[in-house]
Amino acid sequence: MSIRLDSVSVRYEDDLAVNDLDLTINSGERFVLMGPSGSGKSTLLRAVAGLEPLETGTVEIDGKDVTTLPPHRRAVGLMFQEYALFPHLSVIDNVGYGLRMIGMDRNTARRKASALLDLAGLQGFDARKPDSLSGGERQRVALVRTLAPEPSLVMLDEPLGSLDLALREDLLTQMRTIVTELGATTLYVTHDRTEAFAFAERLAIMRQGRIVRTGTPEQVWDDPQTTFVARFIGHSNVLTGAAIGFDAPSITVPPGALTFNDEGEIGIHIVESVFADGRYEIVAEVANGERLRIDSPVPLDSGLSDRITVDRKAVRELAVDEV
Amino acid sequence: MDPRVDSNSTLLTASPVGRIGLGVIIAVPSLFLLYFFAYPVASITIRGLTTDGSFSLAVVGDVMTDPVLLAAARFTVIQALISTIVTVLVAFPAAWAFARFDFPAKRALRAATLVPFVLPTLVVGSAFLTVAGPNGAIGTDLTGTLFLIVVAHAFYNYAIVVRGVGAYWERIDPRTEDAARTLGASSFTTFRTITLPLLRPVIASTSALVFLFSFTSFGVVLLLGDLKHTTIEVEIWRQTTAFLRLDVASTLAVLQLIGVGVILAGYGWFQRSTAVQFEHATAPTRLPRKGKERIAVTLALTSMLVILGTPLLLLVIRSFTNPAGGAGIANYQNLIRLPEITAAFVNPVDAIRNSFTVAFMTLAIALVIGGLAAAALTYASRRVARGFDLFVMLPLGTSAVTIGFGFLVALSWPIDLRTSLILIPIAHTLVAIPFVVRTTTPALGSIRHNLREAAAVLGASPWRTWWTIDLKIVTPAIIVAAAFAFAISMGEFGATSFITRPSFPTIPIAIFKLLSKPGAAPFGAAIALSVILMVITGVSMFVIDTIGTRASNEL
Repeated sequence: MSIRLDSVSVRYEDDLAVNDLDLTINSGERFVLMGPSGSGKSTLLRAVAGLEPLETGTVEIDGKDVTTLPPHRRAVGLMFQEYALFPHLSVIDNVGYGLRMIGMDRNTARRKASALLDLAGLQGFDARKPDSLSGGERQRVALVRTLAPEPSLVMLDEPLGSLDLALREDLLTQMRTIVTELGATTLYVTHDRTEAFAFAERLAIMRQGRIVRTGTPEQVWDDPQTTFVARFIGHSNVLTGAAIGFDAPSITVPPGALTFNDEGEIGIHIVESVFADGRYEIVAEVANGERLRIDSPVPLDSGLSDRITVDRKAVRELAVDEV
Repeated sequence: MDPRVDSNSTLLTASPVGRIGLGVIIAVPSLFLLYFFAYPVASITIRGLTTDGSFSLAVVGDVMTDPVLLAAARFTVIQALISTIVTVLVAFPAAWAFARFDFPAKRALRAATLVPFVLPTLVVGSAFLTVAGPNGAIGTDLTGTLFLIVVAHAFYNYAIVVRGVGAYWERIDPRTEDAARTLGASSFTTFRTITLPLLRPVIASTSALVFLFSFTSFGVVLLLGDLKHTTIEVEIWRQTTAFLRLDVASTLAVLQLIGVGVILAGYGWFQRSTAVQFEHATAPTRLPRKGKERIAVTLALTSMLVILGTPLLLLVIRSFTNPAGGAGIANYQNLIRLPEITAAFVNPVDAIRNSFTVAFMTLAIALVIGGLAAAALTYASRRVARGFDLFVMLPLGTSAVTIGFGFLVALSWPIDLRTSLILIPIAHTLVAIPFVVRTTTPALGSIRHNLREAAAVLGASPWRTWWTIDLKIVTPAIIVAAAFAFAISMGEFGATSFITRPSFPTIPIAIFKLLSKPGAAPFGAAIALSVILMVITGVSMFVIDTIGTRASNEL
């Protein structure tokens, strides 16, 4: 199932939370929408689900215009931030709810829900109420509930939002496996770049209601194109070109593309050495006062002067789109 | 294991009060209710059921076989049932609009819903008579019909449903409904399978209140039923004043109390069995969207304004209709010039001052006693809470007349309080306590225990935790409770009429005295004073609402 958004705007009180946005997601693709909070990601999901009316534009699912279709007739799955489990229903009836809505009788729905819960490692939870579950258990119940009616578009809104790190990595892998096996088109919303890169086949970065960059994780990482995207996805050396002798308003250079070399063209002062992931990240200051990070197998003393060379092929020019 | 039992026991051991504190919290409201409610009611009962100092159940037999009284009992239940269903249905759309949306003048409209609730029954009865009484505006005399009684009860109790259901609805996360929609439920199915079940506890509790008010309604049935239909409450009054059969009246009062006890017990059980904990204090509200949503909200609010506004509008118009005919302010001038017109002069300015004094005293006493009772219900074990709940709710089922009469009969021991004016706010407090408890208990019970633990870990002592967490979270509920207590006191008539002195009239007493005088001038003055009471109450509600909201924002 493919998705096509054509100049979609969504108004929230006086502002456009989504502003004239175009987006195409291919059938079966794992697509991640990332951006800072308030950038309009959740609103966009709600609009695709039919929960927010569009100010302008159209939403097409599988080539069919669904812009005016109410949410219950779109057959899309949306897993809500903080899950929105039905507090008055048991776990099994939460999961069975969507099955009942596609016409299954109560007993069949419960049998299937129970089987799905077992698959998700939630044996024995059938009769529990949501308020007796842990955060991780709720997350899995919400995921199973979303997937139970087998929607061909699965939308996940910050699905790992409030969980602890170990749990997040586990559940992320699980979710990726499940949606890949189902072959469902998946639209995953997060503000966390690690999650985004780990999950996405393709991703888009949103800012103030617009998409500012789209591509595979590799493409976006390799060439962020703007300072906002570069900083948001975690590039550590976003500098003015002048800092390392480039004729560009802004550039980004990977720490690995900087090498210590006594003959090097750039003079630096070592500020500090930080141990991370088995090696050292050296924070250094260049002549114009900007700071950059350089990979090193050994720590270097603060205050030392040194020189580096730049692998110019690894440098990417950036358009400045933030102050 | 049922997780609720578990969380409840944790709640007890970790409640901010401890065993001794819990004892005090239960003891204070208990003693208050024992002395000011149970003791007077028991005195009436004993006085009625003894003949020449010895016990006699013959009266009970007489009552149970009297066809007139049986018909009254049957009518009491039927009209209460129909009134409840109609009130809930009619007020439900407005509750939805208040819970989910922002719209212009929302605060003022919310305050306005309370106005009918606080008007003296006799005045609202008169207003309805101007619509559908003999020579009424619609041209058909509907007095003595079930229809008119039901409409008047719906008018009266509208606020209970709008405020009660609305406040609870605000706490339901709208995303729960959104989730149902994306899982394939139509908006109607979502309402039927998600919204309605989630609202069930509050629909049950507000229905119980409306049912009880209709069940024990006095002024409306007396005036609009025209004695063609009577209820148990009216019969208690008639047996007392017309036939001087205190024994029969007492027996009826006891039977009514038993009925109320059964209703409240069943309702309490139902409420506990379906209570759901919410994570959010309140869900965000927003402007309604163009199209269907805006039309629905507009319709809900318009229906509210028509239902609540029409009788009040007629009341106002009538107040500006001069006794001699034509429009003017003669009725208001008569409030000051009244000694020239009637001997039953009461100074309206005095009455207004007295009513304010009493209302503020009631507010203070009712919040302390009712707040402690709500805390007791929340922190005590389930078994204790269940019994205590019934005890606290019982004054609701007791007519105000019974309470006032009971004060006069009983409160000469151990010291003679019968001439003390403090009895007026105390009587009002008895009427208000069930409201205070009903509005604050669900809020207290909804506080997740981990919030208290979080506060404790952040270094808050148990009392500071209570002050900064529990109290702050229930503040909106306390504001609603305070508004109710104040409003009830302003409009209370039945009990006050038994215990006040002629030198200390309240506004409703003054209105009643004017109404009981023959002639167009006193009636017009009564209507004018009713309008003044309506304005005072509306403004008071608005002020309490505003101050309360600000206070709850300052931690």
